[in-house]
Amino acid sequence: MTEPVLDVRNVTKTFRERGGRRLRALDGVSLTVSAGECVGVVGESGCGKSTLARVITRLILPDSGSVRFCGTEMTELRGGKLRSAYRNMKMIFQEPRSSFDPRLNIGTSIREALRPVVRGKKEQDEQIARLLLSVGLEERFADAYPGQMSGGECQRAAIARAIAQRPKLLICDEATSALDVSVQAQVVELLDQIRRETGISFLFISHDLALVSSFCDRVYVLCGGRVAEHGATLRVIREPREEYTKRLIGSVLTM
Amino acid sequence: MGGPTGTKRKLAAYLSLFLLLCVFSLVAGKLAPHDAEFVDLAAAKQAPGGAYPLGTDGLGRCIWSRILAGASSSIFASLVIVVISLVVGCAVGIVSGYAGGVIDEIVMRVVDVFLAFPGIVLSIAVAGMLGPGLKNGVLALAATGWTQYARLTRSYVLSLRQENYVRAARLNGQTGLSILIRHILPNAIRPVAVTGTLHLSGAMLGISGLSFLGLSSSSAEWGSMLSEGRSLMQQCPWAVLYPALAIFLVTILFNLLGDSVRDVLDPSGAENTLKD
Repeated sequence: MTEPVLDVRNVTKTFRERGGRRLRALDGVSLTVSAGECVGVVGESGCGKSTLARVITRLILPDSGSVRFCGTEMTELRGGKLRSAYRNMKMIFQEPRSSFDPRLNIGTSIREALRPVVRGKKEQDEQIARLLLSVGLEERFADAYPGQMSGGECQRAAIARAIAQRPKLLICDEATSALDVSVQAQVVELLDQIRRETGISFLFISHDLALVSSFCDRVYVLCGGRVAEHGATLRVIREPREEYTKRLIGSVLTM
Repeated sequence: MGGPTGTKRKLAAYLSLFLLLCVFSLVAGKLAPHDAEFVDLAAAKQAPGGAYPLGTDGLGRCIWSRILAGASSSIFASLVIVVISLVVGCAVGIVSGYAGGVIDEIVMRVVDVFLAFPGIVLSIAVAGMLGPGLKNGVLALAATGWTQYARLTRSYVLSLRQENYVRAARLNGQTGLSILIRHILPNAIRPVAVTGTLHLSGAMLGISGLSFLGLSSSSAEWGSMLSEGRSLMQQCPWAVLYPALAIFLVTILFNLLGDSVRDVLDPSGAENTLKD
């Protein structure tokens, strides 16, 4: 069996709150994502989903546990090695506009992502146009500023930037929850299309069980910093074994 | 970006007035009808009019000429104060905010010590130690002015570091320095520019205050003119009135300029225009 793209083992992270109280955001979380696989992480807000994303991208270090990405231990990487590991890992954020520098136009932002992989301004320009087209945006958006674009357009551009370096793993942290329903469906469709064409692995973090079930092969249910249940998406939704999962599914259905 | 055209037009007007004033202050000394330092006791305490458009002081020096001669030192001194404070303060703030941890802690405690004293008191102390002179006055005011920039830049660096686009840039594999230069600094520069223009009038008053106390320039400078004229206020009020008016008008212009720079660059702070 080949090594998974992402292998998170027993990750624990405790935050110290004001007044000395300790908040255990992640409590022995383990999770794997294989090549080409799409894995969902669901749970209500405050269950540690975002902390997990930040630990995986090594924005924060876990207290204990290991994060192996493409065979290297992320928690031990520094400087240049960390930067080259980042080349294979990209993230789509919840707030589409905030993921672009407001002063730079979209083309410039995408160019920054292309710089390490494509040399020459002309080649970069061509690649920017190609990337924009591949996410369903016209070429002219290269000159647009994030403030002039709709949320959906911004999110498409963010996806274009994320796939510019041809990563192995794309982490979507509530990537569609700030968008309205019809745009949401389009963006999910776009992600699905990218997945089929490129074979990129996805870690799809969301509170929306319905969305995850339509998109992911396997799903992890996170509750209070622990993995309450995991398994094939259909199995988890049709025959939830844990009380928490049942309630989570129930809340979706009653809505 | 940018406000409605009205605020931009206002900024253009104030900015051109400001530039005009700067150019004027450079050549003002040459426009003076009399030698600013020429003492003529026979012509002392003359009321405005005739050969002396704004009258003469207790030593018979032409007040109009002295105001013109003092313009360059008063205005340029305040510009230099702002530039020094801004550059030093921003550098300190960036290092502090970006390094974080122990360095940040130490730097911010030093800043707190500086802020524990009222600025002008600290400036007077520093100027007293350095001795009189315009250069020392500028240094003394810059020594207290940098702290506000340091705090401001640090807080922006800290909050911008958390932005998603900075996280995205990290995931692009950009180095810390390139993120700082390309993403953090350009987004922090606006509030710094706003603070800088608002600081101009404070620096102007500061330098006048120090010369009033005899701690800065002893030659023709608006603050020191006030100080000298004060003793003769009953006999020749014009010796106090006109330099004070010059300080007043230039300070107002700097303030208005600062406000309109803020209105254009940072519209969210516009409601504070009249509060300061």
